[in-house]
Amino acid sequence: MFQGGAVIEFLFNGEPVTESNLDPDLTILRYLRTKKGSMGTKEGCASGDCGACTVLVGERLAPAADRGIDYRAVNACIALVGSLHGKHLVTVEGLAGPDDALHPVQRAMVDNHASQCGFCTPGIVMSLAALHESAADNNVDNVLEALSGNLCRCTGYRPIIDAGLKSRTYAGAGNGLGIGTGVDDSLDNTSPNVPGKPPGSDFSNTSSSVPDLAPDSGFEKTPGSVLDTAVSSVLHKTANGAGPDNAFVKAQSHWPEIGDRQAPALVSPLGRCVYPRSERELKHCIEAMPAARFIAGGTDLLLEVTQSYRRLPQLIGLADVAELKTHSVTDNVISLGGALSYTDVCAVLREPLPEVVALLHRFGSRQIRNRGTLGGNLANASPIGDMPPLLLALDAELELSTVTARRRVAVADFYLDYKKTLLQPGEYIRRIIIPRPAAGDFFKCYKVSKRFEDDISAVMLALRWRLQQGVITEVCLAYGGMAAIPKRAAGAEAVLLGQPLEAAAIEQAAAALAGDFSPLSDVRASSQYRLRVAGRLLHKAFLACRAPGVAIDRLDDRQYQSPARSATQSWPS
Amino acid sequence: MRRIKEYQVPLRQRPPKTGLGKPAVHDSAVKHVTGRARYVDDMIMPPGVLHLASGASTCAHGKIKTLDLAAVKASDGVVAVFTRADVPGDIDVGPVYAGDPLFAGDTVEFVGQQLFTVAAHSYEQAQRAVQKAVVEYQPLPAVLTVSTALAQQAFVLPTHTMQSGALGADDYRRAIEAAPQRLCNDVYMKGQEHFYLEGQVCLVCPTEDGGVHVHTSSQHPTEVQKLVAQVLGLPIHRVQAEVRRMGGGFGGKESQAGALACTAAVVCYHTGRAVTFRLPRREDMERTGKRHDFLSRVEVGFSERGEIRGIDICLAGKCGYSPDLSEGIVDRAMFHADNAYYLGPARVVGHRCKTHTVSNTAFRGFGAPQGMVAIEATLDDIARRLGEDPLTIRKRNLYRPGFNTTHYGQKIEQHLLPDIVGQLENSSDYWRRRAAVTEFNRHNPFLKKGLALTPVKFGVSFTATHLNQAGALVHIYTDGSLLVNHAGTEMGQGLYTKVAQVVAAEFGVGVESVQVTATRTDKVANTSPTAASSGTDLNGMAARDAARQIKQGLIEFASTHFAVPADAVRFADNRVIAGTQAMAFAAFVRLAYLNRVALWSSGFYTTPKIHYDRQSAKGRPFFYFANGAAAAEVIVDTFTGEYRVERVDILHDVGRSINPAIDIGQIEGGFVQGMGWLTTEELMWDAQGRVIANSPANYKIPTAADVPPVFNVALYESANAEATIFNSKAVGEPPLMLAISVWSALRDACASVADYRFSPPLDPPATPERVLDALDAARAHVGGEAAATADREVTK
Repeated sequence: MFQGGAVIEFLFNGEPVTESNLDPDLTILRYLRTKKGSMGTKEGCASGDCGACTVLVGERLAPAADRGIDYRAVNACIALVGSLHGKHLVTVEGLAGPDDALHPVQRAMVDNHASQCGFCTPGIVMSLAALHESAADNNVDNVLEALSGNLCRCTGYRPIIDAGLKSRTYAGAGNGLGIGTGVDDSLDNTSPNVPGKPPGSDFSNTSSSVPDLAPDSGFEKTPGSVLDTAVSSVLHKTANGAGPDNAFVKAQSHWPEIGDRQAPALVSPLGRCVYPRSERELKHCIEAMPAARFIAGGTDLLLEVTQSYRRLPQLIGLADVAELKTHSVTDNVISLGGALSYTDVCAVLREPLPEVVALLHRFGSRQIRNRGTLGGNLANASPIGDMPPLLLALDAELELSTVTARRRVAVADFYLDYKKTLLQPGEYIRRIIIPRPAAGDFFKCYKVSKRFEDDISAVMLALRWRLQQGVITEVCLAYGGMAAIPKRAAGAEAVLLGQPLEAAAIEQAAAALAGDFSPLSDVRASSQYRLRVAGRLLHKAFLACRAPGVAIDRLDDRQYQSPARSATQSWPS
Repeated sequence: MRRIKEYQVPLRQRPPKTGLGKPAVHDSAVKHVTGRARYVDDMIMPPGVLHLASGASTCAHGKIKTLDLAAVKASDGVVAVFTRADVPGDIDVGPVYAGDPLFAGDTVEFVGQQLFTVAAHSYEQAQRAVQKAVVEYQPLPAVLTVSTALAQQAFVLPTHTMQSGALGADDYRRAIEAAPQRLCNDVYMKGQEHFYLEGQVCLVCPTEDGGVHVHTSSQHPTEVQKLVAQVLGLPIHRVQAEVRRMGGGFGGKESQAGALACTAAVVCYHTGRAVTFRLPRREDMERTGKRHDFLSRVEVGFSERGEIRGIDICLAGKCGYSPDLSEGIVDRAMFHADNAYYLGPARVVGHRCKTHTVSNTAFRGFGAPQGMVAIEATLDDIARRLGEDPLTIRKRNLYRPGFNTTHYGQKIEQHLLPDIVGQLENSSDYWRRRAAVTEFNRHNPFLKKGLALTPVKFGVSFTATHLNQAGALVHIYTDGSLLVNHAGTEMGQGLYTKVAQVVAAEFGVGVESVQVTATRTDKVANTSPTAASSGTDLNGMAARDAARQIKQGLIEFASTHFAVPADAVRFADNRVIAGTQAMAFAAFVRLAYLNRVALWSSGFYTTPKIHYDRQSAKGRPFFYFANGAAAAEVIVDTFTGEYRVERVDILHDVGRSINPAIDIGQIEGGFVQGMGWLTTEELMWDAQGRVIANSPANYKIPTAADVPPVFNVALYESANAEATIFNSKAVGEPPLMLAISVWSALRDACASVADYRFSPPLDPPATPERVLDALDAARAHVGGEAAATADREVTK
């Protein structure tokens, strides 16, 4: 029988930690607050919606190399301690060095008056630190993206945004080594943390392509270097290569101590949580723990623990299975491993399917996208997921696997009913295979929700049609939020098929939606609104297809400007 | 001592940040960003601490048939279960009026009402145990809406009426009927969840005197102290309440923290152990009060120029099952039903509707936002009727000399708004942008822009006059460091920082010399809630009083010791100057100590001039008014009703600012919070009276991406004509209502499809769904007019 090591090792704020005998369903947040007495990380909602518990999880992408640590912001309330093996957990207590040598993000927050009650602040600091420690620019888009999962009820965010914009003008306590994913989708196939790339391969090659984040480069950017002595001493240390003694720096000397033992597990009298590293190990685990539940990102599953207080005694983590984190893009097909996070998926799809990436910016939050996986979202079969309609419209297929066999099914056949899929016990989603839209295909997706960031769709439409001599020869209208499962509008599709693409046909198709769907009224929208908007989105897509110059999507295009007078500028005396 | 200076640039390169009028950083800023700031749940828990979870009603109104807690008691980790029978003293924890039993009796009156509480070794064990209760109800008819409550005349408190002239006279009616134009409108505005990031929490520890020490996240420690004493049947002096800071309050921790602390105190009383009680977010959203829903009905008569000639306003607040603070909240809605405008003969009626829902409570603005929405909607409607720009109509109705008496008899003495509105009109480039918006809308069938400029006039003072008092305690230690305690609580608004600035200024020392420590009922007694924007006004003055008393003694000593006249003694630049001699402050303090001079004092303050007679509904309830104005521009997607706020300009009156950084923070934060109330934050209830918007997954407060990309905030600095601390003005609540400009701009965008001649209904919150409804209503109006024109042509 498969055992796996009944102990996990990881770095906590730069120091090695070994843990055993913790419950398999213990979240990082409860671990910090009840086992470690580390109270800086706050619980705001325990459901991954407010960001007060944001921590960074650093993953060494190339164990053999001394560069390339990918720090990502995650919600500690819905992430398991068991998932930390071989990783680096950084909390707000780990950012500053001794003697309050504040991290640049912390200093920018203080100087910009960006905390009021302070309860959301540790999470906000961590989200901005993830950006600061990454290779991405801290421009407005990236700052807003970094903050997309952090709620603040006091400040109105303006000073927080300004702190994010200015953090790099405060030189200093960066890790100097981190090559985080950042918040844009600037990953490309030459970056070291490309999902699926075997650790270590091409590493020396790729690290040089990353913009140099040597700490002193930030110093040069400091306008006028109006810094007092305390800060200068930090810079001095950094410039000497030692760096402030914060978690990022300490971690460098401790990484080698973390063992690479296989399939680490947390075991307690309650049960076991195991994180296999390869598909072979995964299969052993499935055989050894037939009653276990799979956990991928856990962003939905762990709500059973934090909201309903249920126990999850047997868990098999999919997030570290190497084979499930690969991808490939050919001229015809995109293949995505089932355990790729949304952040990874965005990086892969940026070139082949930019519409999907644009939509994913409104999907969950930065923290959720860093953790949540495409496979998990599909297996979870929630009626409110945004990806299933997209995959329906693109005629995607899934490769499912058990210990002994693999099979391929169309996404269209995968969903049986509310929260029910074709998946058999012990079967997992191995790959998602997406045919690339052909030349002449028109593909568009729209999400409608009360709030732009981190909200669940009231209505989601993914639409693809093919025109030949102006006639629709193929059409797929896939809707989310309109039925218990993500569903195609068969009646409306029938109206359009074989018709010339004209306003009258769209009108009829929109009318036919009433026969296709009887949506619910719920907390997100009324039934009437859903039906009405479902039809109007068809019109919108029609216009986008026929008159691409007409301004109809400008709502997503906005330019933030720092106010003329911000809180650190001159004040009337 | 704190080392704030380390994080600032040298003084010579930036203006000094610590004196009065300077942007000193929040006293906890470094603690916030490093995670060292401690909130109640972060405290080191005493050994054996018990964790609570409470069972709550799932029925809106009914008799309890069965309450079987056997399985709860047997659940893993449970120490004991407590119900109503275990309360040793008074069962009622109503803050002003009775009506809030700590545990329900035979009858439940809302979904979420506390039935019992479980004490267990861990938070999770307590939560799991609660789920095992078996409760059966005999349902009774439930009143769930304002309209039903109005129809049944179901009120938690009597209706109150304010009227220009004599109560009961019909001047307003005659004025409306005599006016050349009349219109009516109804607006139903939903409430708002506070969504403080730190949920309700307390830690209650037993004391050796048989009392309890309560750490609470509360805006009103004295009320927590008093209620805990009542519930335990103890004299008040056996109970201490302590608040270092809250993770946000916004009114939601004014009265709502009491029941939590009382529940924990009951368990502490019976077990002799420390007890902590923290509500999970979902329960916090289901079981604690929110901003009141309001229905407003306005009938107004006006001139052809849009000047209000007479008005009849009815405001009905959804109070929930008990009075809580609803008397003051509906009163404040009524006091602000004029907002910034001279109403002429007016009647304002306020109902406090009783519904079988959670008892609604204080929320930043305290009813005023709802009163203002009613009148601002009316001014928009008048403008559309007359085909004028709403800003023109607003300006014509502003209070001004000769037109300066409110419907409750207070005279407006300082007319700042005509100037504020005028300045903002220019700085926001209102008229050029108005033309640009109209032009944009003419050429774009799919996206529509809207623009609005709205003013705010907010009355400052508790309308319950006795609450306008505060105490403070100032200590100077022999090294020259100062310690301050006062009656106010810190919830992020920067009160501790401002009061430290006041005290530092009195002694001429840097703000880093002043430490403000936790607000405790055993240091300053009988405190008022930190509410009504009054924190700095009251506590700043009380602290200054304490400081001046100490100073008086020091001056007398210096005068004698250095043989100079008293008026030659000054405190400045960390020194004490006596004639031609000077001494470091710390050295002088030590000298004073050796000469047996008192180095500590209490201080006290009461607000002058204010009074209100409820019988005649006349008086001067407010010491002064804070003013401001905002201009907002929005863009709407007409396919879906989704929208963005593109630009906001604000000019706000804070008097002389004690701390402009903190004041701007309050303005920006208040504005965005108000914007959330009026746009994306939608409370939803099901037909059984359950809140279904019960988590951040389905209740959407603004995010960073909702902040207007152009957001210009400026202070209108003009010394308060009243003698407030540093002649500053209160700033906590007034800016929230600047967000009405966003709502009005959304309505403006919708009205554009009817060529601005129709004012579509748009009940707040203006969610995309409601904006789409408003657009469709405006389109239908155009269609209807076209049809009517066609009909006329046919009949010709």
